[in-house]
Amino acid sequence: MATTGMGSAKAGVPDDGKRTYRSEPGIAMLGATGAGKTTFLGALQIALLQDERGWTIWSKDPASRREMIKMNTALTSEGEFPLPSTGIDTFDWILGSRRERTERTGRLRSRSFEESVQVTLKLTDASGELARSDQMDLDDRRQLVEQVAGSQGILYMFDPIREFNRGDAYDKLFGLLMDIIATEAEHPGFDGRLGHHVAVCVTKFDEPRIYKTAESLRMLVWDSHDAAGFPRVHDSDARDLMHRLCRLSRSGTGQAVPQLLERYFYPDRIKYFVTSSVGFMVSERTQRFDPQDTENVYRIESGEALIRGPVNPINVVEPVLWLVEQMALNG
Amino acid sequence: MTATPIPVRAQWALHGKVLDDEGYQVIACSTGDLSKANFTDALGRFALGALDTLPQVSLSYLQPAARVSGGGYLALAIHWSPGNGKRHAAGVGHVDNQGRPTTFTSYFCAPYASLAPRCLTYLDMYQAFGDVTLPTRDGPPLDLLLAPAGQRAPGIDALAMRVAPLLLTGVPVCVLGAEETGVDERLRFIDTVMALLPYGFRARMTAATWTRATNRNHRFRLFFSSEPRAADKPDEVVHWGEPERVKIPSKAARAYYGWLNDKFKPLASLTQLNREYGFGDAADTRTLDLVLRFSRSPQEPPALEPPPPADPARTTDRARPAQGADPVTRILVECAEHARTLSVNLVRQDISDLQARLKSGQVDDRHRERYRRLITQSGLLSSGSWLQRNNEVRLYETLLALAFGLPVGYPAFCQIEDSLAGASGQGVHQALLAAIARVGPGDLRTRILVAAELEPRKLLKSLGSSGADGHALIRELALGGWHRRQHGRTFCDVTLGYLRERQGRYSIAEVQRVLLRCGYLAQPLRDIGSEQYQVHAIAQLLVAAFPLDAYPAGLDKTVVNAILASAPDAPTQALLAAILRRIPVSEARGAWEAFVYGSVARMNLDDETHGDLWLRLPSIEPEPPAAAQPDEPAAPGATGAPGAPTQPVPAMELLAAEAMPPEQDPRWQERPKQPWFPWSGSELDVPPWVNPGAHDLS
Repeated sequence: MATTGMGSAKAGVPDDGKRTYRSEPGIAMLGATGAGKTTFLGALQIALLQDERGWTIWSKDPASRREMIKMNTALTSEGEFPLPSTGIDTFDWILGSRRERTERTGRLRSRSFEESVQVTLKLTDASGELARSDQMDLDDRRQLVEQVAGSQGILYMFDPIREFNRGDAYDKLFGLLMDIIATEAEHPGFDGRLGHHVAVCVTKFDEPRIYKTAESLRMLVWDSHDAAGFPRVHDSDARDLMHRLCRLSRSGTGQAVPQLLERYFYPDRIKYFVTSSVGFMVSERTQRFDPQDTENVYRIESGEALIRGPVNPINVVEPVLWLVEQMALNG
Repeated sequence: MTATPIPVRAQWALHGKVLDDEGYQVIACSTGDLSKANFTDALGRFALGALDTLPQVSLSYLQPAARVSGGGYLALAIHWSPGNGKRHAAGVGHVDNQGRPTTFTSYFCAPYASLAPRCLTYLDMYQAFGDVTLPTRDGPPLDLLLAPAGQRAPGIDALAMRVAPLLLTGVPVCVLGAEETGVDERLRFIDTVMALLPYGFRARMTAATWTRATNRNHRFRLFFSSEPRAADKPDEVVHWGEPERVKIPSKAARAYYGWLNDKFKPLASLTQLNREYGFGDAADTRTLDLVLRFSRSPQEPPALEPPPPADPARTTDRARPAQGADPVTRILVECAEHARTLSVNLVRQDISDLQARLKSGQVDDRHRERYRRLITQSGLLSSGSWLQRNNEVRLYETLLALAFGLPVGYPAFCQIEDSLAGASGQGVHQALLAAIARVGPGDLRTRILVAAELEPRKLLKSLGSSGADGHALIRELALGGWHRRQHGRTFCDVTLGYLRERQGRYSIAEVQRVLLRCGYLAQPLRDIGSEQYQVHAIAQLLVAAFPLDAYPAGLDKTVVNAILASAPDAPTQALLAAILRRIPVSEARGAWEAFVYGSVARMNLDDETHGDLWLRLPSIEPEPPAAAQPDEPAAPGATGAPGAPTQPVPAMELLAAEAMPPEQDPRWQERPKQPWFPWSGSELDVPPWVNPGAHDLS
């Protein structure tokens, strides 16, 4: 099996029994214009805060730090979406956490220690236009292809609404994959498949049409500990939901998107998630999820889209942590 | 003054989103030589990234595939938002059909060949193109009139002056900290920078008034941003309003910076001479004098008439010469300023002026001291590393002659060192040493110290051929009085190296005589080295005076006594230690006695005190020579003179001799045995310095 761009994970055990694990995986974000790539990044900090696993995010790079703060402020304080990317933005963010770990020290003995985990994420957020076929000869497109080829994980944002309206996901993904494969094919041992781990995010779960589809397919599950009562689509159903949504593709090619991914990447390295970066609307009166009023986005008179209420990201942390974990496990 | 407008045929493109599509694209473009694909490529190549603040301007170029020289285009792109300020296109919305804010780019390019002859600037282009409202449908190229702002001297912008040479290094320059400035001001800055480079560089120039810092792969050579970008190849980062922080890494670029200072600064300074002047008789002479004076003291724009005396209390710059200061002082101050601004030609002129002043008259001590102070304060002796080596050495030669006098003797050398230590905390650097070597060291010390740093390998040879023999070196060492401990150490090392190198080629007897006269340098060495070093140095001197091959048995008692007890200075512990290493163990006691004798006998005591001590010291002083018995033959090998070479003794025998009682060793003269500890068996008078009441010392 060919692997590309995999970083090696190193762990050391200092005298205090605490272990530090570090790695620097690169994660590229792909998806059409308006699929929600930049908003996903902006919501990551909020999602980590709401996650019980105690992950934190920060950055040493001043430019990455500034943009993280700006995106976070736009979403939380101003009710606005982050500025959509033009060109290619690269962020160096660090995910950090601590976890308990047990290690055998002899035949009958083992010991536990607390492990500090730091993962530097090199996130590439490219403008969706770069996936268009008319951009193939452009400099930015070449850079994007190189960056995706050199990364270890891919966050692929699939926007079902756009697929319903335009149906261009297959065309754009196919063109891009061909370019990436052409780059990777130069490496010895390339067997026709890309070694990246791919987290496929079916975005805009809060959009009523997507929510209703999941509901009608009886794919919604609830966490009894969730105070707001937000529903989710379990990861095991996410692929099926995507299939069902792809049937509604305007061009009719949407259904080929999962097949395309599973043909050119190793299927066991692909996982599907149903996500919403801004999350569901919370009823102001009950402070709970209202199945009749799910969408957390509205438009003002000028046509600009804004966020209605508090941001409660759904499945934003999970794809990132899954990628990190997979990359660490597979070296 | 407004120059005649120039007709320019500009090709254009409008880039952005239309409501029936969601992606950025070239919405419309001119139907000229350049195609939509050309525009798409050019716009994609020079993206700024998503920005909060618009409008912004980016500058680039377009080169046709044919690559005809002069056939390219200069491009100016205005990045703007319909919802924010001026609209540069009709019929476009400020959000796309997903409700996301849209930015547009109005892209213009004009033939380089039509812009270059009239030296049109980016500001000229911006003023003309900024007024254009582009259509959303393709159309013909635009025929515009570009008005050059007229010939103008570039403003003195210290940052631009440094950024221009930085660009020549090929590394992109990122300007930080300009958030408070407007797009016009940043564009003007870019224009100023480009005005300080040959116009032809615009044909390949790319610049932006702002870029998003996370847009790491852009290709702008000069750009503004909020943070440095974390690119693989780091940019040169400069800070708005802080030109002094800019370091120009390349020597050639620094030289270019110096050239700029020489040429542009005086021209630009004319705008600062804005007091009222009248034309009239001798206006030419007076104006020439005016600009020359101003170029020398730009802080105070001079009037044509002599200004009233300045209030001394307001003069904060200590280095600034007072009104009526002598010309050399004035030129020195200017030279320091020119060196600070790396103005090569002006510094060269200053050197010539100073040399002319030197030729015209002597410098008295009072002026020399003033010049020294000035040079120390301004750091002139360490400021010329950016000059060509010959000019740097010439500068230092001139300064040395003015402030320290020629030739440079040891006191002056120390003053130079102090001057450098005070100004920059550094030692005498190579170029300055070369200057001292050229003007001529004034004494042996300076010559050795300079040569030891400058050409250590040639030093010993040059000593041998110039007559500065070991005796002179030893005598100089004996004088002591080193301003810095390291000077003495260096000099001593050279001396030891010389003696080692020349062994067998100098008179041993003469070296013995010279060294004995100065107590084997035991006392002077205390001032220049640690105890370990002292022992090492004296041991080397002993080897020089008593070579191991000539004195394989070591030093005899007579020699030891002579060195320890008869030298003009009191022996030191280091001297004793070095001697002990050259004598058999059995003779150590004799050396101790000689050391004690020498130490006490050479104390500076009055006769009364000393007189009482004689009886209590070991008997070391040589007995008066007994009348020689005519029938008594001289002992074989004995020359009668201390220090005469002994017969070689095999090493094993020497070791055996160490175990032999001295009285059985025929090679050692028997001395009369006396109890050397004087207190036993006699009562002493209490010396005046003894603690009262301590009468009984027995």
